[in-house]
Amino acid sequence: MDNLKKQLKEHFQSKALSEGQFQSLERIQEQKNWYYQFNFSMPMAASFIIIFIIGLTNFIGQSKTTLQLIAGEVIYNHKKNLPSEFLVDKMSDLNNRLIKLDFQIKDSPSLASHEVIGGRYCSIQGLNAAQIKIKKDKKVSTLYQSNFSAVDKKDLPFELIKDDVKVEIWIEDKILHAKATNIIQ
Amino acid sequence: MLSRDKLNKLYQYGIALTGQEELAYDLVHDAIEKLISKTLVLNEFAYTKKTMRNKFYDLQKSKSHKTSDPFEDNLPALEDLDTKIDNSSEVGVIMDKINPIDKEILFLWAVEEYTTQEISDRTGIAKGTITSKIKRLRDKLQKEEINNG
Repeated sequence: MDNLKKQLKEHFQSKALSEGQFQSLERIQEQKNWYYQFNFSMPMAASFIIIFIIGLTNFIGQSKTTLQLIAGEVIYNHKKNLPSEFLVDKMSDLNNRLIKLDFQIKDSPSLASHEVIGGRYCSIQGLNAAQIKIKKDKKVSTLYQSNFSAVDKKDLPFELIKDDVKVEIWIEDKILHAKATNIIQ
Repeated sequence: MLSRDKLNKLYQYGIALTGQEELAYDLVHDAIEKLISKTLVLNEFAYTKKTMRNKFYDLQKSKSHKTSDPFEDNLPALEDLDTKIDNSSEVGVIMDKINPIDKEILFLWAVEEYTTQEISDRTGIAKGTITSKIKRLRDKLQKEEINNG
């Protein structure tokens, strides 16, 4: 080996850390495990929080969307204006006819001033529902009743006007009510 | 985690830079503290070494701003060895008396066994200058050996 290189090598390699210095440097390096855990767990925790918030927002948003979907479905059905299958003038009579429903049609006190014209089977968000024609002051409305419950109650009563139809949604006696009325008759 | 062998190499590199054992240890210590604050370092040894170098030259720069001396004690470069060092063939003695840049070059060349091109890439000093510095030291040692012999 080159003499100069050899001498330089020997000169530097004769220098070594003491046992105490080794231990001190090793102790510092052991902290790295903690740093790793901290540095990795913090972004992970932050990610979980963000995902949770997004999930929560979506959940809340979904309830509102569900109501909007119901309102849209009600407007669509109302505008189709399908004839009633059972022409009765009492809710109790309609109850006796619509026997395939998994709930009892309610005679809502808030609709006491309305006259019942008739009803038929229908569905709201894929669940069986009753579509009931009611009338007040010559104004015909379509009332829907269903035991659909996947809505955020704090957003109720819900109201939406679209395509000249006013939709009101509320829950009464655990039954979802949706009433659609033409604004211009 | 850096092995004891690697820690020793860093320490030796620190000595090459600073010329002092205590300062060399401080450099290694500070560089490792910086290393552990990083989440992911692919080559811990190279990173620590680079940190040591940067810190050392930063300190030298700040010192030169304060004292107007470019490097501590105005240590000579290898080119000036003939006039500054008399009758010494001891590498250790010579190493104590030359400036940090030259010490680093010699360390990288002899201990790390880098080629002059690799040293040039690493330090930014022209390859020819590095070759010349090594040749001067070699000549100096040979001359002293003949005189002593």
